[in-house]
Amino acid sequence: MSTTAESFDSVARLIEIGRLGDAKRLLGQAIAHEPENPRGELLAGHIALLEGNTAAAETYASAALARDPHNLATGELLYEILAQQKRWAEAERIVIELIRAHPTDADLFASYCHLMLCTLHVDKASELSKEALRLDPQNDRARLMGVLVGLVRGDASTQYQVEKLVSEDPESRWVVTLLFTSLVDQKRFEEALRVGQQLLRANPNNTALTEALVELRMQTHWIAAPARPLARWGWFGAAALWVLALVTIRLASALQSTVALWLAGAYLAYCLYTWIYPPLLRRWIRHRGIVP
Amino acid sequence: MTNDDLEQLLQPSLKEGQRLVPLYSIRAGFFTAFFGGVFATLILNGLNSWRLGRFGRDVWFYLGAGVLWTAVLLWFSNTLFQGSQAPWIVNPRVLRNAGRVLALIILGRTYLSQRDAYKVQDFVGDDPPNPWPAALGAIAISIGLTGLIVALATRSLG
Repeated sequence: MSTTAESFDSVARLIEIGRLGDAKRLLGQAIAHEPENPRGELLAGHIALLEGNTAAAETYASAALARDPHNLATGELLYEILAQQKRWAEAERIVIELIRAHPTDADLFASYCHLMLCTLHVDKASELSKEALRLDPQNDRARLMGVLVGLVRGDASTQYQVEKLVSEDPESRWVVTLLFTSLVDQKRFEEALRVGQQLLRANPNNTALTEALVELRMQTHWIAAPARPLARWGWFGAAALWVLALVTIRLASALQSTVALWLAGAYLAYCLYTWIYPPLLRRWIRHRGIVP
Repeated sequence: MTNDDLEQLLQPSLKEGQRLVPLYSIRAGFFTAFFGGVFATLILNGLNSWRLGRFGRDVWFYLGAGVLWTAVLLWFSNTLFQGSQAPWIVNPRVLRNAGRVLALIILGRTYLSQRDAYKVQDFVGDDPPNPWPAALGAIAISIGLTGLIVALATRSLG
């Protein structure tokens, strides 16, 4: 007969490998043995969060925290629940309390950094990521946040950091995700598409990634080739093109009106093409599938 | 990091009940600049600055651009309605395009100063809000304001 502590360990392992049904069954038995143990509520909270039931997860996490207010894992779970619901101010209060109780925990600084990034406090996020890396230079989350802050700020050294992470741990899912983000950010669409396809093979149910890959495939398709300058320079490209067309057509009309007419027609046709091809191509790529 | 620095870092930056609202997209800004001109762009960018909590920092730039464009409109109306010797540049089409160019420059300047926030929005995957009510409202106000300035300028002539 196993002890309740061993049962809780088994539940944690079952949650880790995604067998939530088995985890719930075993957890029910363990809680029946030891209803006062906050670990039971903590695990129930984890399961509820993974099942998308944030209200139940919050009830369990709050109950566990009431029994054991200084428990790091419970605090982190509550922070996670609040952050997922975008209740940022409450999440911030929790993470600050956790940092005050555990001031050398790099993971907590990385979590706070993520929160500040999500709420557009980039300067503070940068300070927090530096502190996380100072506390533990090898911490995965701290390094991830360091690179993300670098990408947001356009720091030149970020690409080197990404390459270093990839060379150290090419199999790690989060490193590959980071590489993908970094390549998209640099508008290296072909390479990003290849990395993204690898990621999708490992995780075929990720709809956000699928959507991102459809958009990337659109950028690399030959039909989109004439629109590539707009993909590269975005709305600034569109604005510059409009000014260029305006000036050229105006000058041409002063010299010869037929040429101006042709130029205006070409500009109009190009504008129509950039409007019409994306929805059609998107539909075609979804129909064909994104992973070869 | 000293204890004071750490203490400063651990001061809350968010207020309870404060809703974080994403920014209007650059796409929305572009079309508003194109169809609404300078005043509409100033309104939409002002809303974005407000959302980012940096309106106080940006307001002088917006006011300066607004005053500049008002001066251009006044000069334009005066010159156009004063007599027959108006130069070629005083032409409603030129004015409209000049307004668009200035609006796009204003949009570019605010984008560059708020670039970090736009990038975070990209990475975090927050969808921008529905721009239609704000953009259409800004365009309507812009047209009304332009008409009012031109009307006042021409009335003072006659």
